[in-house]
Amino acid sequence: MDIIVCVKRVPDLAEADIVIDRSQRDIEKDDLVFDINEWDNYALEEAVLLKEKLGGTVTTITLGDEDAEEVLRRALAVGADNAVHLDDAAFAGGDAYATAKALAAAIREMPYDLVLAGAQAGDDGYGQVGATLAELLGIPHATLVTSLEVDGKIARVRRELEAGLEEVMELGLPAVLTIQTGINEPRYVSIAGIRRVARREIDVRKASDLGLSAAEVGAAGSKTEIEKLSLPPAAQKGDILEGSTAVVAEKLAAIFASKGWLG
Amino acid sequence: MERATREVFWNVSLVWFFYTLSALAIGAFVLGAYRIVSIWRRGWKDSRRGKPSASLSRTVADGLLNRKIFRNDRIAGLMHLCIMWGFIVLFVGTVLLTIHHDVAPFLFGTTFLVYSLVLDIAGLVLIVGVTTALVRRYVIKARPMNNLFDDGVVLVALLGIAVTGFALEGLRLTALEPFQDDWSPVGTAFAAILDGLPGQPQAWHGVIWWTHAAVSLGLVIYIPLSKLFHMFAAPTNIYLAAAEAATLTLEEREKLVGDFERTQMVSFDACTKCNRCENVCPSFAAGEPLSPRGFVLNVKAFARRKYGIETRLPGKARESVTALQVGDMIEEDAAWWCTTCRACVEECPVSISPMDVIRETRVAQMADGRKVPPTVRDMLRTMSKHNNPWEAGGSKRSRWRQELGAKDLSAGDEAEVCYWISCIASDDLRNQEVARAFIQVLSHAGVDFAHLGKEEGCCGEFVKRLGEDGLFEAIVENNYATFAAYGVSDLVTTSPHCFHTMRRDYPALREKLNIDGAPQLHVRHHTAAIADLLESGKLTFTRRLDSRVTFHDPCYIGRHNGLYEQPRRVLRALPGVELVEMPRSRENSFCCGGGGGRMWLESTADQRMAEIRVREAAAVKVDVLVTACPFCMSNLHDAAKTAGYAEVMEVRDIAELVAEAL
Amino acid sequence: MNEILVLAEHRRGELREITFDLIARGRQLAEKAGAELVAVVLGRGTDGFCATLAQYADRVLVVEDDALRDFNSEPYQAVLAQLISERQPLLTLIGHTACGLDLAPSLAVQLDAALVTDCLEVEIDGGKLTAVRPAYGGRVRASLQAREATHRIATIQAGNAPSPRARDSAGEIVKLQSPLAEEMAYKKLLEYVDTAAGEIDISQSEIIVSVGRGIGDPKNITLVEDLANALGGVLACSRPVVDKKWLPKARQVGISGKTVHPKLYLAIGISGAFQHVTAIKGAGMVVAINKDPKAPIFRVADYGIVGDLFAVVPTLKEKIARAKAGK
Ligand SMILES: Cc1cc2nc3c(=O)[nH]c(=O)nc-3n(C[C@H](O)[C@H](O)[C@H](O)COP(=O)(O)OP(=O)(O)OC[C@H]3O[C@@H](n4cnc5c(N)ncnc54)[C@H](O)[C@@H]3O)c2cc1C
Ligand code: SF4
Ligand code: SF4
Repeated sequence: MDIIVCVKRVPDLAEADIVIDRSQRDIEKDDLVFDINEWDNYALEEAVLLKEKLGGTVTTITLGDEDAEEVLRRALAVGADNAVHLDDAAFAGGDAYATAKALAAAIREMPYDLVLAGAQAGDDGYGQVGATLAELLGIPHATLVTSLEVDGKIARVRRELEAGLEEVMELGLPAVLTIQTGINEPRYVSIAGIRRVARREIDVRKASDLGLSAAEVGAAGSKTEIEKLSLPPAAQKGDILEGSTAVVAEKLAAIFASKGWLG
Repeated sequence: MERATREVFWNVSLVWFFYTLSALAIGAFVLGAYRIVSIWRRGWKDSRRGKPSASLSRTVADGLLNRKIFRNDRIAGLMHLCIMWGFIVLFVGTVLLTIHHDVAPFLFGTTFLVYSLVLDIAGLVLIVGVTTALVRRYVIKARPMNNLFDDGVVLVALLGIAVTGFALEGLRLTALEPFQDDWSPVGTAFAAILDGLPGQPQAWHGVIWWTHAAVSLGLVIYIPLSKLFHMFAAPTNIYLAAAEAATLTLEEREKLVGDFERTQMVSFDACTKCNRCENVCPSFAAGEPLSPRGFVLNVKAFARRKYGIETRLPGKARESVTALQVGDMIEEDAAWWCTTCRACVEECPVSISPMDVIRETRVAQMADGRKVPPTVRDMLRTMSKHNNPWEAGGSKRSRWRQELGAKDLSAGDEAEVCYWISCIASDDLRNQEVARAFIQVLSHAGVDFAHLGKEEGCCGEFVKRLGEDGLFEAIVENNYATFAAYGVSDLVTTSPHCFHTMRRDYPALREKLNIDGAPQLHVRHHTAAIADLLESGKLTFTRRLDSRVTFHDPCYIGRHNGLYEQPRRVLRALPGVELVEMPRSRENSFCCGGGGGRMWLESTADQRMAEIRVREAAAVKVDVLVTACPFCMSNLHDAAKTAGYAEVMEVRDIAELVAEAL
Repeated sequence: MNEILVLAEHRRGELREITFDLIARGRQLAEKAGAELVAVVLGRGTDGFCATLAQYADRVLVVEDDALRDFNSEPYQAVLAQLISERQPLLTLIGHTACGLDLAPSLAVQLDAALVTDCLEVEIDGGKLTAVRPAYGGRVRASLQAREATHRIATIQAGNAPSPRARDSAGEIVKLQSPLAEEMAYKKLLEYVDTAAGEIDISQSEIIVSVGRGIGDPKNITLVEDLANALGGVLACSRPVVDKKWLPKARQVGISGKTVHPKLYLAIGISGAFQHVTAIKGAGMVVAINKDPKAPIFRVADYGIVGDLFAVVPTLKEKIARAKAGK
């Protein structure tokens, strides 16, 4: 069973104050900490779990600048066997489609039975790369997968629908699955673990290595284009209660009381 | 006058057969011992050397005199001394007898009389010891034990040997009626009892002699197969044991082969299953699935399976054994429950540190990653990204620190002493009050101090205890760089955890990592700092507190660093404060459950350690439960509420009492 | 053709709410562009749906086929691709839902269409598609423009549209021949599973106190649970809390959890991602406690407290207890 996992390095915004940069098309990233996209982390774990169960290889692939290598190192530490880094200035600024196109060009050349990706990325949130990739590769896909079993050439998956409902589906392999959070319990990756793979080779490829011209990838090869980013107005619908903790708590309790909810 | 002596193989035929059996038994013993020692040698070597004098005196005190067995249980100490010395003397007596018989006869006259008297007494002492052990273990059940077959066999065999020995002596005395009988009082007594036996004493003697020989030789073979091997492993371990486990850098660890340090491997065989560690383990007491004894023995079984000679014999499936990971051997998640309170280390009579063995398995589990509890995993990820364990955020905590009104090194201020506030005091509201109180105390005493403001990260103590040594190393390097940048070397902190790690773990790494410009740290815990201020007359108390208090010794200033007196001295100096002790205090203090990374691990048990402790405090009827640790504060404060004591008893930090009395 | 196509979404015999959002959106766009609003129904036994949709749409296109009975992206894609390439609509709208996520991207590739997902707002102006969509978990708004393309598709976030306006007279219902010749090769739906079956039904509660990732540690959940008890409400949560297994799935509020309609929804340490807040639209009052004044949850909250939940929640509980005792 040869599995390919697509991963992405994204900023972790939990602690950050977001600032739009001068181009207005991106956010200020200098002071941000980065990490593997949360959904991809689950996808990676799922791939390695499958490998541990069924044997085979896990190849992890990312598209991004040189810093993106750190998510590949992390993937190797988790248990991926190979790492492919699509790194070329031409890839910059691509939308989900352009990204999927580059990934597809690279993946097409590799042996695989299954391709996993995160259901979406924490930054752009397009939720589009996985299924686009599948169509470009000409294989079936399922998105928002919350459980996965492989039986020979068949994958049986659960997809998350709305309202607590899930659907159980069967797909013929090879296929692309996009993984939803919570499908597993991603393992811890220790610093020692990352150090152990520090010297493992990473296969770096440029657009030309994939037989793609600069016009086909990145911003040039995209079907959409970001015009402007903005911060949504902090405007609230209702009142922000002001005062010390004790005061705001008192006010809120009074509101509840006036509604008769404390009766 | 005929000189007193003893015919060695009196009434025994087939002496050659006995010699053959002896040779076989000794051979089996050597093989068994070799097997164990070869397993020991699979451990990696700690390059540090202890001071031989200290090691030796510890070996005498704990090994020969059983000092630690007496701890909290005098009868057990006496009992073990009896068994041990009875056994040793009888063994030496047997060796002397062999020399007398086979090499150079010397047991004549007075020498022989003294010899037989000493052996007689030793035999009696052994019987007393073993009988006490049997009664304590099986009849009155003096304390909770985990009885295995092994324990019974060993005791019964020892008793058997001693009793048959006396029976033989008695029968011999009856048969020969020699003149030196009054030098073998017990033997004579046995002779009197056995006088009534029907038939010839010679016949009885023959049967019993072979029984005695069989049991004795059997025991020789059994030693390396049972806990009895502790007679060798325990003194070895006591001699080798270091006060602190070795600190390894990532680089050193990468080069290691083996799962445990060599002394740890020895310690597995030193364990006698006395169960003392389990009896004092707070996690066990709370009903969590951790027993330090169980853990050590599990790891021992693991080491046997992985490294034992058996696994190298042809026909044994080696692969399955070599594929074993440390994690596979331990009951699901036992390793994570340890609070690293050090109670087990303090208690173990033979210098085993279950705590460090547990941490070592955590290191292995960290490297594997699959079994790291999710809450711990998430915390560590936050830690490595944001340099603090809570996602609560740098900007907010540094704002809070600025509001403290003290000098701030990161803002360009200068001072002699750096107050290291700690993460929890920065993010936890209750502990923020403690920081304020301590600042008040420092200011009152005119200490020139400052904090690191936005530059204070996390000390990483629990990262180390959780076994993520790589991350810890990065944190230490980072913090040393901060200290160097701000010229900090003199630190005081309100957290025993920061204190301990900077005092113990940091210097060890500093030496090994050669961190550029890293200052030598002088770290004090605030209890010690306050005690010093008190002594030098810098604190004048004006207010009476009028309360009855008890002090909960935080593990990391108490057992880990021996600061028992300082907090008590401070408390006694406070006007109107009456200090009473809980039944478990000082070395015997009962952990609140906050150490070892347990702040990030929810207990599954019905009881919480902190609640047990709070009940203990309430039982001595105090108004204030005083502690000196932010984790203790957090846990006990919460437990006082959940256990229903919030109305009758406050939980306060020692600094708060001091500040109030100023 | 001058049409705005809207894909009707249905499941287990019911039209899904998102369909009406799409209709309302589509109507606005159609009016502006002077186009016709066309609803597309793919299914089996869809007469009821068609009649409903005809009240709003100028035209309802129906394709009936066994393979279309339940949503399956493969036959859906095949049928839609053919429909779109035949009719050349100005724009096709699909819900940004589990169905839309599974369908739209591959459909766009097949048609070589420009696709914008998860749109809050869409404009179509002279064949040019522009959209506003969230990025960075809703903390940023991105305005996007689609490049020139033969086809345009947008997936629309649920819950941002007004209720659709009915037409004066019912639109025309056009039955089309199913283009599906044989059974699809790969993907098979086996069954639906209700993950929250047999557990507490939070959607029935009048007062819900809901906790998010901001709680930090599972042991802190008791804090919020205590507050819920003090208010006589039930405890619920956002998705990360379920992902981490701190609370069971049945407690999850949001599109992939429960939709709730309580009198009071108290959100604690929840940022207010759209997947969460769409499910609390029906709440009588939303109150948010969050330390981040910019958290999107404040945009839907009737009352907000900016502060550390570990300070606010215990104090609030105390005040509530006192207020109750005072009665
Ligand atoms: C297909 C799909 C379906 C989804 N379905 C759902 C769903 O049904 N329900 C759902 O909830 N999510 C769902 N999500 C996930 C959703 O996108 C968000 O990731 C999620 O809602 C975020 O949860 P949160 O607000 O608890 O966490 P976060 O976004 O991490 O927010 C935590 C908040 O807590 C605040 N905070 C932190 N500490 C404190 C403190 N001490 N005091 C006060 N405030 C604090 C922070 O300021 C922050 O605003 C879905 C996602 C996808 C892709
Ligand atoms: S250190 Fe404390 S908690 Fe850990 S095993 Fe020993 S006694 Fe138990
Ligand atoms: S580790 Fe020490 S205290 Fe614990 S059972 Fe073994 S010998 Fe006794």
